[in-house]
Amino acid sequence: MQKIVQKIVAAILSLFLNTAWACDADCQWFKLEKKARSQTVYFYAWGGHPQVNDYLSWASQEIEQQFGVTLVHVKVADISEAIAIILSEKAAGRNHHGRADLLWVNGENFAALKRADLLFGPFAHQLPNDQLVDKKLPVNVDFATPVEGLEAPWGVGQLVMMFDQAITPKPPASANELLEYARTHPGRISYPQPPQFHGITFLKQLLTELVVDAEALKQPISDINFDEVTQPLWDYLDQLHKVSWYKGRRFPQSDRHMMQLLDDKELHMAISFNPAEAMAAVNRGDLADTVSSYGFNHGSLTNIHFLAIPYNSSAKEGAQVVANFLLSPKAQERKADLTIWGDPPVLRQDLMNVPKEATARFQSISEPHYSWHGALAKAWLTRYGYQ
Amino acid sequence: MMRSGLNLGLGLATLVVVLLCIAPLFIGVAGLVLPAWGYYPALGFETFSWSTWQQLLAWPGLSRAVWLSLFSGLASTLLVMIITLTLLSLLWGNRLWRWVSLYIAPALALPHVAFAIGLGFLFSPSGWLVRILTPFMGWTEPPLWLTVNDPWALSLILMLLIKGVPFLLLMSVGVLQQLQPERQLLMAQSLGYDRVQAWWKVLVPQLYSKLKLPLFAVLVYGITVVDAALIIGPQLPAPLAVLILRWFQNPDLGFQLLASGGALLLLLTTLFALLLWQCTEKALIPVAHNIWLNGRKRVRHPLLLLAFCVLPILAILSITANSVLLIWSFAGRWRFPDLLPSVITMEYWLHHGPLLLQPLWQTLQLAIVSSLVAVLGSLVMLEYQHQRNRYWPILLPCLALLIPQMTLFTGLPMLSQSLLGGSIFHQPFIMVSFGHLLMVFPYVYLGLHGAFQAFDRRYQTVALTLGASQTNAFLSVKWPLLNPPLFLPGPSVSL
Repeated sequence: MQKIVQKIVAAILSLFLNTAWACDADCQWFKLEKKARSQTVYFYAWGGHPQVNDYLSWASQEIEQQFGVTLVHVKVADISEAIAIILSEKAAGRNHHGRADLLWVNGENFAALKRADLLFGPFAHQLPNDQLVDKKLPVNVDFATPVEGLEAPWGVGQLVMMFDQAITPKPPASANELLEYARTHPGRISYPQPPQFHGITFLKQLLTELVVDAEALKQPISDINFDEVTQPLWDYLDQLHKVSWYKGRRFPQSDRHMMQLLDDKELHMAISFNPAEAMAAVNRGDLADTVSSYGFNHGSLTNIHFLAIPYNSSAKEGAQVVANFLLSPKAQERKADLTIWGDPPVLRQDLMNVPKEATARFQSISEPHYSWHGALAKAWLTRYGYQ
Repeated sequence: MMRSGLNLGLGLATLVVVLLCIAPLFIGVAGLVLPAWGYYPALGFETFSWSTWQQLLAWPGLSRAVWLSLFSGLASTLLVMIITLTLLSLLWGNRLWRWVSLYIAPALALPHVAFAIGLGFLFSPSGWLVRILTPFMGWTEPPLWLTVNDPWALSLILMLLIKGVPFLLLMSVGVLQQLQPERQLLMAQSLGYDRVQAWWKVLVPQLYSKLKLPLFAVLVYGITVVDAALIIGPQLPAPLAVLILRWFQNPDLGFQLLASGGALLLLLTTLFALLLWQCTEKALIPVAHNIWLNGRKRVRHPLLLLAFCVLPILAILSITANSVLLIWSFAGRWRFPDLLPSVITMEYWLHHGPLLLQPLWQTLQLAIVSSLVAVLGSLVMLEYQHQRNRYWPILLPCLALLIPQMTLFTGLPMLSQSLLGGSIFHQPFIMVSFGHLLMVFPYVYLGLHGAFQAFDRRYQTVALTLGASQTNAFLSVKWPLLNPPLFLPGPSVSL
């Protein structure tokens, strides 16, 4: 009797398993899209840029029409706000029906989420459009943290400096040339105040050039002698601050702030993490048409920004449909359009019609291990945080 | 029988108000204590230790940050008090007073963040004021002056003044209406003092003691202000409240502990400032006695005139800052040294106007709901105390003013979830209104408290002896006498 029951159970089980096997990747995706229909995806993404916001409201219309998924852009000043929300949900035992369904993250935020086990996945390689991604880009490591399919690439960032040809005919092309320029133009060079993202990134850019052994940057700071490795950077900044904006007593608060200051001639240089930003701002009429982006000869710090799904999202299928749409050639091409957003695409060049100025065209230097971000912020604050 | 029934109802209603508006505050603070000592299981911190405090005290520039918070709070409060009292002494009952009262409401209603941004545009080295000077000075690039974000917090203090003076003026109006200043002034004047002297000698001491709590609210606001300080305050280091916000936002989760410790330190700093104010006041009493009772007449202190000139300056600044903001909203491009934008565009309004409608409507709903509940709650609580003829220490209902907002709003969602379950998050409107209520309640309560205490209860007694019910006596006698404009701070704080 028992044997018969066992046989029947085995038969039923194999039936289920077989149908599961019979459903290939396309069919799986089809099922997922069907399940996603009428879901609402709360996309927590930085809302400080009108162009990005407009792009996302276009995307939400498309997604609604094509897939019946409602995309709501929850604008945050810093994605860490979303992480705080997910954390407090986890603390309160809210393991389903979380408020956030999709996050725009990278770097140490991603590392923090991954470390605390707050992510759904791996899902990235199951997205049909994942095959179109340009594998030459460093999409598998995020600030030296392995991505492991827990986030899908969305765009590329590259640290560039903006100068106005009319004011600065020959832009400095290295850290030392920049210092020289600051000496001849006192009070006109600065950088966003760490721990602001662009400020720290600028410090890293300088560090990659000034450091004696570049390999040290790939390791967690606990494995190296941080003070010794970073000493050349502090020596450099001590010199720079003597001739920088307000002699280092005041710093721009963000990259946008720097662009305004560049336009107002308070500063001669702005910093952006988007090589297309200068061209886009000129086209919009936000900056003089003599402004363009420059990279140091040594190369430009490069990283990918990603889309991730929180472990307690209530619309995981919807979130994947959104991520896949945002990775489509149509969405990536529009995103790269200078008049719309101008964020460089992560897909292969031959799949899209995108001009060169809108791509990550500078020679890339990879990001240091994510632990450098916090350590540099802290060390900077210790040295320059109060006068 | 009827009366005791009503009293019971009122007692129950008061209990509800206390549970709704005050109790969550204690839990918010309690939620800070554990993380500050290293216990935050959700983040994997499970051992109690002092390391957060060590880390906090070792934070670069911490002492200066605390000092800045204290300084900007105390200095702005002192100035707000001097300016307000002077203005009242010179203008109350005067023809010009009408203008002052016209100024109060809009000045209070304008959100201070927008205002801080406008002030920044006005004062920055490439701002409007410098642009006006530029043609005369022959500058080609903006001068290197440290104006906004100055390390001495002066621009922050200026902003606090512009917000604080109208607030204190409003509070004074409420108190003054109960003090019957005309009669007292007449009396003093008959002794040979001129009107201004009479005002200072007779009314100011009474006014001061009744304005104590609103003053403390100004003080606490000055110490804990975050958003405006972020825009216009010092940066290296920033005031303590701004530091805490940055720690809360730090992606490194360990900073959550530091932020909790910092929030407690902010609480201590605030209490210290209040204590300092109180002690200074006590210490100055003998001096004040000498000055107030010296019998000298017809003295004009030059400071009086100086403080008097401040209001028009504040008003002009406030108007220009908002005009700059308005012009910016139409500016396609507005480079230094152009006095007006080189490109005018409707783009921002056309583009974002429709997107703004919904948030605007929501904001309005929030403001109305939370203010209404706050007014009702305050009335219930005050009437309860009034009928029992015993007032609670005023600090209790106003505790929310002493707790940094960020602290409260990290603890709040956790609390409500454990009490009400996850479904509460599907009612965001209720959650947010509740948050607003916590912040609005003390302001409304403050506005009403003075009026309630100063209210001559004989009016109500007469009404009762004439056979009116408690409710009737309240609605038709007391309510009209309580002066409804006092409810103004509600919506304006809430917005």
